Amino acid sequence: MDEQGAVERLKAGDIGGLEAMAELYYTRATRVAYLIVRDRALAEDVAQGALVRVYESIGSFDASRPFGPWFTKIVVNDAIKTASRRERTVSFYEGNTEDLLGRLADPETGPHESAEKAETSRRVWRALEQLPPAQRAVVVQRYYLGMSEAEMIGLGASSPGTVKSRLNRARKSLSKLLRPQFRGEEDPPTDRERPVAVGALPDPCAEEEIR
Amino acid sequence: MSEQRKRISEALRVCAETGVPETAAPWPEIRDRALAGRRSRRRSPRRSRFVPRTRSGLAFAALLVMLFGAVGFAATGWINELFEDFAPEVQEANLSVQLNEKQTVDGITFTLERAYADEDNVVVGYSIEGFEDWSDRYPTTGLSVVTDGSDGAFEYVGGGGMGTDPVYDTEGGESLSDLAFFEPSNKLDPSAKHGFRFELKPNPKAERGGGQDGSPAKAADKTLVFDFGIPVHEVDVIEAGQTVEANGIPITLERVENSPARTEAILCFDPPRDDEYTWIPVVPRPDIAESDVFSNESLYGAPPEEEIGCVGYDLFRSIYDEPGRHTLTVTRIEGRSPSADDPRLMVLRERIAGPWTFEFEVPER
Repeated sequence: MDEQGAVERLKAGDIGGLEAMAELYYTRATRVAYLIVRDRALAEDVAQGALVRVYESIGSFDASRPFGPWFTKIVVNDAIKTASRRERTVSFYEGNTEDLLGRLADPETGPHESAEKAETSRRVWRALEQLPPAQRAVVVQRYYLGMSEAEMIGLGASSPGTVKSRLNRARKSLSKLLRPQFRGEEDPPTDRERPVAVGALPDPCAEEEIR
Repeated sequence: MSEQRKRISEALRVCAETGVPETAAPWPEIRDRALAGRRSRRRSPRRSRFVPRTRSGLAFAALLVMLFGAVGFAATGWINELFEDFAPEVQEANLSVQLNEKQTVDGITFTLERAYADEDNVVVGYSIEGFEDWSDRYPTTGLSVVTDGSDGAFEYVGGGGMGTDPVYDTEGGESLSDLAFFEPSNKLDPSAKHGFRFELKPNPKAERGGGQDGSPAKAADKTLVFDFGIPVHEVDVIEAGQTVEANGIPITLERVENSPARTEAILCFDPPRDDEYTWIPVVPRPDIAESDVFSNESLYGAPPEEEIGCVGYDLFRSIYDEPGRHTLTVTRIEGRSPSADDPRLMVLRERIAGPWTFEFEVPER
């Protein structure tokens, strides 16, 4: 069943349409949520909850528009709320971060391309952790989902000013957090930065303070 | 695409695919949740929002903007939104008190907008307006404090740039609104008026990480003090005393503390192998959004200091005004211990499946 057929069935109240959507979108939705909530079980819960909400609110969906962005908005918003609530109230949060860092470093489970890629991923994962959930979400939309600023604004989840402001702050924060490894041509060094010789980088995981 | 952007994109892809391998959707669970939701959906009180849809409504909105000013209207709107999102029962019952106390520092106006208190919670809504560029720092140091002249402390449990992202509105001027949540170490006595002091420390231009020119960071040199008096509302305590055993492990729902700001369930149990791990019960949401009693997330509790072996859960939203029977299901308990690399990190070591299902009654009021 294609996406349009699934939407039609859902609008007719046929839960079979939801099964088709789950097959199409579940993994992607879970991955998007995972990057924001940083816990696989929670991410699965967000993805499942988002599909349930699709079933409930499909009546308000304009079938002439693509389903993906509408669904992404639900997933991202739920993930932000979940992460915000959890980070406000939860004491035991870091276990799954450790799990991922371990798997990234494990040749059996980590990325097979190169050790450098694994290291870069570890650094980005740790940097992402230091952003508030809403900023994390714009990073995921922009860099993981490849959405343009206009597309993010078009989701209508936040005002244009809020999207721009969050993206701007997230970029700056990431840029600072990922120095010196990620220093790019657009981001010249400042006097405040400690000079580090190429090839003599300390262990980034040991260097960074993660709470 | 810049090299940096490419590398971040690629790193996120690697993290996502490593953390969540390609997996089939758990269709039976999704279907059951969807159908359960449809069966149990009930009419829930909708949050009232002023959204003008008619010409007269638009004219009224325009009049409000003229009367109160665009920026002030926006900021107040955000505070209402925040109360709706994070303390909806308080908002719906109109229990927070409008204070509107303003102080201006260096052209930046800090406003204590609304506040709410009950025996276990103090919630303060404030806004900041008139700043220029906050793109890489928060306009406060993140240290907001509540006191009441007693010996008791008020623990800052959220808001102010910690966890929840402050709401920025860059249209019609830069403004920020936030709710700060506090928990008193000693229960407050219900009363018609209780005196509080809210302190907020502005963040000078170069507070975070030094100035753009590399100059040293300046210390914040002024603390704003707002004194205010508001009622302290009662908290319902529902004594449950219900013990359920699963997998050889009994867990007791001691009580539920139910206030408009927060519903907290207290669960107690003897952890298995308590010398090895810290055990935490996990409570996933039992149903779906429109009829949610607890959460759309898994809940992890933090042990209340005064009750050894007990865990208190902030439920996803308050059920203060929802009389009737409610259920709470612990699906598993998780054993965690500090990471060898970083003792501050608690690493998941073991899971034991339940379920442990409890019922309790929220009385009519």
